[in-house]
Amino acid sequence: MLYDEFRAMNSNIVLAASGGDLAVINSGFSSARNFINQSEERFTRFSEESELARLNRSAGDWFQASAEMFEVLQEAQRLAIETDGLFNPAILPELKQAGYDRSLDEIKNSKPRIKPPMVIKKQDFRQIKLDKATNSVLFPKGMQVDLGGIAKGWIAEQAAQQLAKVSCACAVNAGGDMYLVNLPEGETSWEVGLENPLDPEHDLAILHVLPGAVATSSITKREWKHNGKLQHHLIDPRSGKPAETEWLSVTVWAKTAAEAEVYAKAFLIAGPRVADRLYIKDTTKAYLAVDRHGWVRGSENYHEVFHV
Amino acid sequence: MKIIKKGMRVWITAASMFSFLVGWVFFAHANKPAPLQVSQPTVSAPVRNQSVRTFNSNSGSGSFPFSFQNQAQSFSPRLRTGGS
Repeated sequence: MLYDEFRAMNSNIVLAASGGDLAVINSGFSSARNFINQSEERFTRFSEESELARLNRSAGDWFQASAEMFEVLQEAQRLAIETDGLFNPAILPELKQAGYDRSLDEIKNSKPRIKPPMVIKKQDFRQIKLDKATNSVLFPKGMQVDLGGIAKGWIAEQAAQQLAKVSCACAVNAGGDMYLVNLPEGETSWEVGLENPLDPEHDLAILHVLPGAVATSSITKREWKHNGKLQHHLIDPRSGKPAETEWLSVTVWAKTAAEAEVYAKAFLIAGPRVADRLYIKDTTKAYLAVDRHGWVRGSENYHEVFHV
Repeated sequence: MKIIKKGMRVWITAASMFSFLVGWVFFAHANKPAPLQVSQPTVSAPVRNQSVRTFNSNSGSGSFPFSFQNQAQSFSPRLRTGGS
């Protein structure tokens, strides 16, 4: 197995591939790396020049989107509807209000800011309009969107599909959002370490995972202090505040990386009861959730894709 | 005597009200209880394990809780997931 590791999208990126010509795989790594860097420039909310920043500024008017942006928005709207609004990328103002107004590295390296709370009008991402014929998008006036997680998952999957053209089996891991294509020769699964949310340096378990997408959402990974309170990046669209949840992390296996990422987030925000209700609607996904005491809760079918 | 009694009543009433208001302001501005520091756990979780122990298989709700058995792994795979 060949590996390439680098940093992008504020995350550690791991590319893995096997079963192919060494030089060709290395050139595949290089292409995948370029794709990831270009996609980051497109989807980041931390650059005023990114396509996402321009799209946010255009709220209230139709915006001509790139094919990549349109595809992610389309998928995001579908999943927002499917999760009854538990996934809502239109929470950027709430995220900024909670103090996540710069990259996490910048927040951690600067002094805490104190900002007075502002009244924020709730926006529902399900209400965006998409015109497939022209790749045009209309955000309702005032809507501000953060595509962080879903875009990262989508990018990982696209990069993996590119890498699959030059290898027999490959994986792309973007900070825990990963897409696995085929199985390495002689193997019956991919080995994936499930980080302990209470001690991220160590794994809670080694998961043996089937090809597909795996994503974990956690409230312990991206946290900071704002106005004297500990905050995390997972906004509950119902309250507009960082989610108060029974679980610390949820790991989801799904067919697409966007689905895995979105459902991990929705399950974590919703907690056990709603998670089971959402899960029953579509049992092609499987999840493992870790609570504050280290107990793990698995969907009925978790053992079909996660061999622990 | 009557004036002293009246004065005492006024003084006690005023002092009580003042103390009540001071207490009110004090508690209103006191630090709120600190949120749970999830990154510094008070409960240690089982770490790096392979097999599963069923805790309660009430799977009627679609899922059930369990814990990983305490069998430490000596390595960590290159692919890890833990939240982004």
